[in-house]
Amino acid sequence: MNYSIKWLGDRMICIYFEEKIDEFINKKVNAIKNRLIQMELQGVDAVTSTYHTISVYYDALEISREKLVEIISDQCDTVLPNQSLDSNLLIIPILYDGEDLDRVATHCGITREEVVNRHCGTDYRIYMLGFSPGFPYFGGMDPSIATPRLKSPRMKIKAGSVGIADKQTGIYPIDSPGGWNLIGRTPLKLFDPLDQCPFLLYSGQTVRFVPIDSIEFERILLAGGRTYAC
Amino acid sequence: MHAKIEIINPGIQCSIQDHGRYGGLDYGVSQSGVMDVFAYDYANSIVGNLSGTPALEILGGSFKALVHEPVVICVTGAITEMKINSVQARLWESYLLNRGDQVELKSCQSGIRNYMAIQGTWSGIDKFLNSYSTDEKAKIGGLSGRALKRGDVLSAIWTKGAVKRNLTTYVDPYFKQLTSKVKEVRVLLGPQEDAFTSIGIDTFFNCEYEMTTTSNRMGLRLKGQAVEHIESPDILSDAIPFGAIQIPGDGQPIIMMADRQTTGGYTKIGTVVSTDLPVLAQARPGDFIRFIRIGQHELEKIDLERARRQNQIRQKKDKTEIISSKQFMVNVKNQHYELLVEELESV
Repeated sequence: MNYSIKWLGDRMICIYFEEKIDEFINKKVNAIKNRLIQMELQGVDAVTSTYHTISVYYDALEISREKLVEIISDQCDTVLPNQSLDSNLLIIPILYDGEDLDRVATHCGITREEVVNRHCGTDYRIYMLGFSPGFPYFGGMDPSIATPRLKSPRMKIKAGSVGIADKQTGIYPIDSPGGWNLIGRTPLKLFDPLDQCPFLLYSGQTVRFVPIDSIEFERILLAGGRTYAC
Repeated sequence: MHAKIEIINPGIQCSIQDHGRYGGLDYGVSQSGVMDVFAYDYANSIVGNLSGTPALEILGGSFKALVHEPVVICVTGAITEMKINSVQARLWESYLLNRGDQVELKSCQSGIRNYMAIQGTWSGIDKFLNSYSTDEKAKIGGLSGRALKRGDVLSAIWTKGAVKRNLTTYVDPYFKQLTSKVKEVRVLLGPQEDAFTSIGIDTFFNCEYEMTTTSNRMGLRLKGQAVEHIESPDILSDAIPFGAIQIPGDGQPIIMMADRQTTGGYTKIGTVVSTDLPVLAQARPGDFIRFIRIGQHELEKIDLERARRQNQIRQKKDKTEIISSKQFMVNVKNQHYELLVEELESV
């Protein structure tokens, strides 16, 4: 698989694979990232990934650029995509009562129930986290429920809200402004700074959405909103 | 010994920051941390703190605090009139303040951010993923994840004694740039340099860009001649380092700073080198930025500059004018007095 290595200023080096949303590329990216993290290299402050890139935050006073390139190239050439950490499927319960559910149904020319069926009828891969703490970039949404963003974004969207923006679906981990069509909400806390594991999701993970009613929603919320078994 | 200081006026924005948070970058948590690491490191060094001890970042002056228990402080950064009990005091110099003393910053004359280090180990503040930096968006770090307000009390436990130290030479290029209306910063091209026309890249390096009032800790929004894309300003999201320069569709550069989002979908024409970021941190709306192109082979020169700076800052700390200090409780005619005795070491 072809890649290129680029320097972003004096403190970051990036590995770029082909610029596309591709499960195979993303698996390789995650596998390399995890390997680099495991190596605990002196002078490396952080290793992060996106759909098709791996970024290494480093300090050249502690690790030479030549050495970094050597280690990175070596990993890119030897680590295989299937060495990506296999995750257990995570179930995310959703109460489908979003205020834009009708808008999405109308736009797609189907019933509300059918929007829900299509939204939870598939497994999703988390390609990356970014934008805000714990925000997942899911891949795999049924394109037939794609709906354009709202013309003017809402000032505040509550944490846990599930939305659709064009061909993407996502969950807001913290209260924030946003222009996504809201179709429901999850009682799970995607980001909880007080918990020992502050992030519920990680890149490379597979998740499935399961519809719940408001009683179940309250029950999970009261139980702390960190786990769900169905 | 305990140090205690109360915020009387936090100014426009005052927050607790350190070197930033790296543990959440892969999970979408911003790096945060100080905007001007040069001024911050010096402030800590001058009061005798370990590098990385939290400090206050104060935006735009107009700050006032009242001392409840003796503290050793040092203020660095923007050129700002500083007063201790209405008497002129100096930046880049440590002061021992006693109970009832007031420290005040007036408006900034040059630069826009000041750093106040307080000697000792801070207590009562939040650490998240190995950093005390305040991230107001995620509500983490610092004091309950928010900016400081009137009435907030900061506490520390002294680790050294009273220290009397100051910066004696202002030779670092930082100081010259601090007072300059045009800030020059060095940029390494990429990673999306191919998204721009050659005219676009020439425009970027030949024009001066004015900083606008919409700039903040997330990014400096500039205006000037538009940088021309070949086609689209959008890319598949990738990581954004501190100092990356995004060019969105309108061609106006945005320099991504401490509170930037971790990833983004705009083309990045280049990245400002780390040693020049403190200069940008002190840019004010109306100042101009000029980008100087450097090549990859010059990165080692930047490393050397950074190492030299680190050594100078560290030396400041090692050169001990420090001194032991003892506290006595004295009882005179049923009146309690706290007495602080400092021993100054001659250099």
